[in-house]
Amino acid sequence: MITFLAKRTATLVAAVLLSSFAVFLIPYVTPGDPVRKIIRSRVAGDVVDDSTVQALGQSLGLHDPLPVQYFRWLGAFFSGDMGLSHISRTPVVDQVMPALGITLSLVIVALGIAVIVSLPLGIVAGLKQGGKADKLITTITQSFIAMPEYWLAPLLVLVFALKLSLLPSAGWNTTSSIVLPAVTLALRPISFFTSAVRSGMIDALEAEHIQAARARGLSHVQTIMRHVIPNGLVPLSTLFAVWFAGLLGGSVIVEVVFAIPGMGRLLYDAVVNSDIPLAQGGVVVVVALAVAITTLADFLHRILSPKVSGALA
Amino acid sequence: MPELVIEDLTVRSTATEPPILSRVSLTVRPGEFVALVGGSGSGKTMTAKSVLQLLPEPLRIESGSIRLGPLDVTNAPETELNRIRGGRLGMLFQQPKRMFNPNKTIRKHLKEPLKLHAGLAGKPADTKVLELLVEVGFEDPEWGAQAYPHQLSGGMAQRAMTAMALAGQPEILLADEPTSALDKVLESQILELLDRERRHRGLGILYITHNLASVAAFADRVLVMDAGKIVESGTTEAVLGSPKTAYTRKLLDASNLLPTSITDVTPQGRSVLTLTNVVKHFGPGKRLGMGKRFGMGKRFGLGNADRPALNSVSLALKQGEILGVLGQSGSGKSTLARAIVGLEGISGGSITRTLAAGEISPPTAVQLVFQEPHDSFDPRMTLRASLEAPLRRHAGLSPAERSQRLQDAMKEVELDPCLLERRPGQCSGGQLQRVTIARALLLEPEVLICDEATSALDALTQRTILDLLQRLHRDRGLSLMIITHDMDVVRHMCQRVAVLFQGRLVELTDTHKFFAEPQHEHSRDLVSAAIPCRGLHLKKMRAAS
Amino acid sequence: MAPLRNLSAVDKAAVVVLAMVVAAVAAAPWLTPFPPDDQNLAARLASPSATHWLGTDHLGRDTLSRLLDGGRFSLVVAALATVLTGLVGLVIGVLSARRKGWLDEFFTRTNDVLLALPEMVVALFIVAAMGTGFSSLLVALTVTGWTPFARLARTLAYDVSARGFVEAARVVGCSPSFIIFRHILPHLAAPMLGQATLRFGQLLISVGALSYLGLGVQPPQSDWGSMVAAAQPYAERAPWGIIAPGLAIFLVALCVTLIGQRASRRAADPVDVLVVEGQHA
Repeated sequence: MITFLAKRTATLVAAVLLSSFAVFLIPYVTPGDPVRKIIRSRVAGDVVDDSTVQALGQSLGLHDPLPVQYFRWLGAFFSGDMGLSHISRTPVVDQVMPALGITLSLVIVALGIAVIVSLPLGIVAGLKQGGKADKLITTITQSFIAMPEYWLAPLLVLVFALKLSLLPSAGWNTTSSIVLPAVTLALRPISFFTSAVRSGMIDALEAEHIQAARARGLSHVQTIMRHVIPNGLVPLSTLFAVWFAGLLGGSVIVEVVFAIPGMGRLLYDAVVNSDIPLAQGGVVVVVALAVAITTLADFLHRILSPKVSGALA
Repeated sequence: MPELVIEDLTVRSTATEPPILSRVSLTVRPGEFVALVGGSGSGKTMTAKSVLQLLPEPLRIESGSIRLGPLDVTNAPETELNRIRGGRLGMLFQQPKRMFNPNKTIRKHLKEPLKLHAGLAGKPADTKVLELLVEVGFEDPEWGAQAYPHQLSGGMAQRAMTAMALAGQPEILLADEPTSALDKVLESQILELLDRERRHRGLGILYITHNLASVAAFADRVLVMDAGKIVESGTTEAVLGSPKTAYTRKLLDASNLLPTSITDVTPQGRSVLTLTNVVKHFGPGKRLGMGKRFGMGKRFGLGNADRPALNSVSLALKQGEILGVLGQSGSGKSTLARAIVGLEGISGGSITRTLAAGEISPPTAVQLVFQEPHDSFDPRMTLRASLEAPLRRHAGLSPAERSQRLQDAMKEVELDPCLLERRPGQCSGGQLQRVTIARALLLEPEVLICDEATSALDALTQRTILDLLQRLHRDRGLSLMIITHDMDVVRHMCQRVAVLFQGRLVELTDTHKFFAEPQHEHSRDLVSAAIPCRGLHLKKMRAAS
Repeated sequence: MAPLRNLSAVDKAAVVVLAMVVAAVAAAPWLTPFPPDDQNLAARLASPSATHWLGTDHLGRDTLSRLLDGGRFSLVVAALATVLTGLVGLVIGVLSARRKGWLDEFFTRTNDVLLALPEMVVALFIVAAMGTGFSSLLVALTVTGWTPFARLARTLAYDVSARGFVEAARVVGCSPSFIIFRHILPHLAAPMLGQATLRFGQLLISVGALSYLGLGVQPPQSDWGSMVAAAQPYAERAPWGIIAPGLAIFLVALCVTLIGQRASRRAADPVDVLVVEGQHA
């Protein structure tokens, strides 16, 4: 367990370092003078003349070797100095943190919906494998994977906002603003969660120890409650984390469609406007959080499923 | 205490299929050790499942009755059945480790029957769990209670399973091949445990097995089952002493392997295979990384990373010799076989193959027969394609010549060459194990290593494969290395015995000397575990002493 | 491939619908009632009618014609991306499993990092860095899309390599290339094809997503994703403009998903491993 902990943490650090280094290099690999671009993200006000650029480049250490610059940048980054946005000319951190908060609440609500819907569906489908209910549930939830968000979202807006006027069509002003985007976002995870719960149930039902449980006098229902459902739900914990991590930056479409000022929208704007410091800030924060969540889930999985930590199955 | 009476039990799936069980009758009285023996597929397990009313779909009891004392089990309501299952009727299974929920501790498992059948919960149940674990031989019951199933060895898991069965205070114990996944030492330990419980608690035991040697040592009465019918029954002495049906004689024959007739001939001559100080470290657990997050990954690692799997093993296989390599699981015997044929690299020492003229022979001169015949062939290829592959590469033969070689090899292992056109899924384990040997013979090997080559086969098939190996040894002058945990096989086949214990070669001696006076402590354990299962009247003698 | 008679009604319907869509898109130049870029400002945002089966868009262009024409781009890019990601994943997965060591470790780590990076963000970056266009779209989809194939190929290759028959083949002296081509790849083929079918649906959606965001196909060429984006401001007046192209993506993705799920399930069933003896009844 200790070595596993150390290894996972090392992976976490490596992943963050690797991706942050890639992000750090953006001003150097995109067209244009890197020094000017970096100065623009460090100094308020416009700098035009070459001599000032030269002087500022010198004082900001932009002629130092890249690794030195990288660690200086990273240090500043994690102490909260992510530079200035090229477009809005305000500190990046002041845009990233609120956006992160919005996306987090959106993702949590969406995944909450997904779990609440897929648990009963998956359990029913798995326990009645091959039956009518199973076929219906499987076919419908599978179709959710094929549903493009950029199509579903406008349709939902059309029906619930424009035609029925039940919910706001866009923005992030009222509590009800979260409903349509969260439902849209929940659809694909519902599909994956249901299928995971279903196959978890089937595996758990087919395990030989179920026979043994019956043989020691547990009734069919007791066996299912104690040995099938808990075992069948173990795989969901990891899947949940993967989706949690993935949606942090994966809600681009939904946030663009519904004009939600979250992480996805922020990253999209940064890329479209070539706002390098904003993109850097957004990506590093999303990746660090995503890696942390999946690592946490790995630990959780080990606790739920003691056999994974054992050697040689 | 009541007795279990089965009368004229017939079980089948659909009316058109032949019955799985037909008119089976048997009785288990309190304090009685009854053995139900038969080859695989004879219907032994289904008999036990019928008693618990847990037959798999679509099997149904067609006629007959099962009674436990005055209670008619066949017509009992489900709630009554749940009281009997694990209560008055305890059950042990063949693969104990797979019979535990991997996510729950042994304590949680044991508390289930305690709550259901003894009405114990909380503190008193915790105390009872520890008592039961002590009773079944856990030296550290506290550790055993908090352990997860995968942390237990096979033997320990079967003890825990026994504790779980005892927790319901059973009157009758159905033991379905409880030891067939265990080695001889563990087998006799578990059977002695069951026998002790029989005496202390007056348990009636229905012991289902294909292993007649253990029956001789423990059972009062024997029923022999073949194709769903009881073909013979009586006291152990009567059935095993003077079997009346051909089937029983065949079973008896297969499990009664006589000591080899050539034990006293210690082969002289050159070594065909020489191992010098072979060391194999697996190192700390190796990660297989990718995909782990989706639960697909695995972690390989040996429990004890410091201890090498093979520690300075030196031995020489002489030409025309049959050497037995004995060891329990984890002793390094499979690693040894894999290292010799190059499937594992070695960390130190050397392995040399020598031809007659003293030159180094090619790698294919040493061939390996694996334990799992069904896994030794690509399920997608015909056997012909699998067998031809090595020939294509090595000998510059024409297609006609290759085909001829394949035919000859199949005939040599006593198989119809028609089998070549089949895929492995269409062949039996015994047939496939012969094909494995045929594939090895095509490369004209000097040495054939059999790594538990007969352990996955039933006793009858095992016997025919051993006979084949003996003939090949005689006719071809093939040197054999037989890696096994089965003492009977070693005594039947081998001239010399090597014993591996925790990666070390602890004994290397002539077979008869080994059985007469084993030197190493571990060898003595092995020999003493093997002996009690022989001789038909042992039970009586032991009872008298 | 499974013979058609073994398919369920739903699967059959999926095959038929898919075949029809592909045929219609392939035959687009002969089928389209109007040139796809033909503007008719007099008939802006027209409802579906006998002339314009699926109505017209805000420039009076025939939706059906644009749908058939745009489908080519969507389907071709998704298909190419599937093949590319499949091949890259297969090679990386099999190499990792066979070579092990640092190569395996390297790909595993890369995979871990890519898994943590939101796909859409990476794709956005690549497209932003390389500029919009056909090739940068392919690169973006390949860089983000090879990992599921690599994971599957690696796991399978690892498992197959550990099977007795591969070890037996090594002992009898079969060459590594024989083992890879005759033993390992055939065992990978069915699950990889199943995976490819599933991924094709997802890639089709991703192509549409990038186009929807304006980072995929560039005007005047259109595809299904960009059609949804273009029709969105007029959703209330002309909902068919959104419904038609989105439905096309949904239908194709749904059909391939259904077929792919079935193919994957079949691949997972070891129908060919029939144990005759050795089972304890």
